[in-house]
Amino acid sequence: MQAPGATTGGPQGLARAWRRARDLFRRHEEAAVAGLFLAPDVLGLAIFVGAPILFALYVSFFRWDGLSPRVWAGADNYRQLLADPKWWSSLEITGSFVLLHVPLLFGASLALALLVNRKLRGRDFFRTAYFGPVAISLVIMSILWGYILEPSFGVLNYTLGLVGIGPQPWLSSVGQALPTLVAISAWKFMGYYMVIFLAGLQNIPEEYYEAARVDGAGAWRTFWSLTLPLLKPVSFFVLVIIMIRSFQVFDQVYVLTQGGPAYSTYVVVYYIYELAFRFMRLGYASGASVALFLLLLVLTVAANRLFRSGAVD
Amino acid sequence: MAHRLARYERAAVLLAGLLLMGPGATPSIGAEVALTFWRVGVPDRDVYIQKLVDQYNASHPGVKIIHEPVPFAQYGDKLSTGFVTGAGPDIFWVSAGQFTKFVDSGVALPLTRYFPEALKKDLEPVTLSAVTVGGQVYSVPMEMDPVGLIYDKKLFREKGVNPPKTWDELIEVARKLKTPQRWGVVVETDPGYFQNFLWYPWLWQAGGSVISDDWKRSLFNSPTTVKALEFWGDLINKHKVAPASSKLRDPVPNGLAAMQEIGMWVAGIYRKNYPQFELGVAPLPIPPGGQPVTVYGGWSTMVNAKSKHIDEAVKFAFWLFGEDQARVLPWTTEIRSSVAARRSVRKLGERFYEQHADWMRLIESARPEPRYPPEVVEAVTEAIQAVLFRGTPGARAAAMASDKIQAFLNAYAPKR
Repeated sequence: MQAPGATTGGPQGLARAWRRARDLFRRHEEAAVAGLFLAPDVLGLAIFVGAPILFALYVSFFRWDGLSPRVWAGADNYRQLLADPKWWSSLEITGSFVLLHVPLLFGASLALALLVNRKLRGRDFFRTAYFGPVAISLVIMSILWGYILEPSFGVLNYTLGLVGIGPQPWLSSVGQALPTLVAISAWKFMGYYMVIFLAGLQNIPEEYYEAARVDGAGAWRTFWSLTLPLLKPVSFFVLVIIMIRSFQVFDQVYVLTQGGPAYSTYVVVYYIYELAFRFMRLGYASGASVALFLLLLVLTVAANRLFRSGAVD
Repeated sequence: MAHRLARYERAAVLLAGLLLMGPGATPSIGAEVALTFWRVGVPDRDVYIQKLVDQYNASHPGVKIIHEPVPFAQYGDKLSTGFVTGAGPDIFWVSAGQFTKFVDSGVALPLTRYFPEALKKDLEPVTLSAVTVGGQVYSVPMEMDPVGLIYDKKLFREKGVNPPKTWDELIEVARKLKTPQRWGVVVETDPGYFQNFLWYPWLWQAGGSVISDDWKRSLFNSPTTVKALEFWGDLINKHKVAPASSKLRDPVPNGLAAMQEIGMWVAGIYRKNYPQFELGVAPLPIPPGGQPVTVYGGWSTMVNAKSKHIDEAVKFAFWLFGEDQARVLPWTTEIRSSVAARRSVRKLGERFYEQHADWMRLIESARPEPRYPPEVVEAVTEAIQAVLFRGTPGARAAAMASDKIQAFLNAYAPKR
């Protein structure tokens, strides 16, 4: 509108810029409004999640106790990590946790969803009841379970005693501690993934089931050939999320076992936590966090490939 | 240029308004200097400390001490994260578990040049040397909690049993008093520096040690270590007189155990919460050829070297329990039930200490809790946990831990 080369200074320039921006917005109004509403959340994520992650990546190349100046260490932290027996053993323990936790949680939440999807009496009550544990803080839940599982005087051993089963050590035994933590965690989160599966189940049109019934398919056949394949996208989502979250297990360990007894529940995030706050080795801990992130990234991509390739059909 | 604001423009204005509202700017409180004071919180004790803090604030205009009790389980972590983020306290209590970490990292302010001569002379020498590193004093001692074997006096009377004097007697007595509802003895099972603290005396009794006095050599790989490790392991796994989970609350007064290794601090707590309970205290049983020795713990007051108000912080640190004995006496006697580190306070509290003569006797053979760095604590923890819960033979656990300790000591070069 103005001749090129005309002055763009001062209030005239601002007004022109504003008009141009407004024209742009008017053309993509909906997107612009959406963007503005998303802005606070994105800003929050960027500042409180994104920036610390980038900072951790940066710090992982230094030696730092958090109080003295940072000392450049290059790839030393990563080299040390590869040779660190505690790192590998904590990964191993976390791997055991994941291998037990993922199928249990996946299976249990799917089973619950199938159960409460049917038109039974009290269905709403059960849906709420199963979701209840999700609403409790993980820390509080851990404390409560600590009391229930107390070997000498806890309610669980007492109940088992009534049916003639001797008291079990649960969290104070090297063999039982990790499976016990798996069971507690699965109990807590079952309801959450049940709700997700429920949404997926309810997206399957009733006509499909009618057709299957007409064709004479039994319950198992219906589930295997109809329900499961149609749940594939939901299943993939749930599986990946459960896997990532399982690798990040921490609260229960911190509250109940502190990695014990005898390091049998010493999971990788607990190790990173101790490295950072007990041994004050923030550079090394950051390196371990980055390594964990890369590991999870690889696993997620692998899971993605597996699903898409139709290995699960 | 009046035109109706389009939808997006309204949204933008709303958004800008929300962002600008932000957290209200806190008005500065005049010229008042605010200092934070952290310690491990225990409800009864918090009240007394708060009273002292209020007293200080009232008598020192222009200064405000903000007292923050922190739960024990989170104390170490909260201190670490606090200092790292620059939000650490100005004055704080430390025990041997955190002491070295804060001295090495420069968090602890050397207090030598502020230390009043009178206080130096009044303190029990061992308490002063326990907080002195390289000739510098890093905190103000106040108390000593000796560790002994507590037992249910009434139960022992009923069963006609005497407190055990040797390791073998301990097993025997524990066996005799164990029932399905009651353990014989409780030893600490949760990993950490508290477990180590309670285990060291059993190592020391037979002449063992973790590291050399000059902190250069690991002495952990020795038969005495093996004996001490396996004794605890046997109590739990072989003789089955001790529980594998020591998370029981006040086991002895609650009738859940006949004996427990624990410190003097329970005396005050039990007198208050279990008035019917008769607390018996005995020295820790010794092995054949062993010497009676125990450990004592306790907190001391440290000042943050990076505090913005060093002078005020130091002033409060000494005022709290380093000056008027009248402030210290109720704390160490009634409330905390520990042995005062200051001789003048002990004299003032003569009557209390006479009533707790059994605990006082333990002080004579008590060594201060070692202030090992976390890496050494961790190695010892691994050894104890392995023998207690993995069935690892004591010799192997001791050897592995000793290697780790030696490797650490070789590289240990504190910045002092």
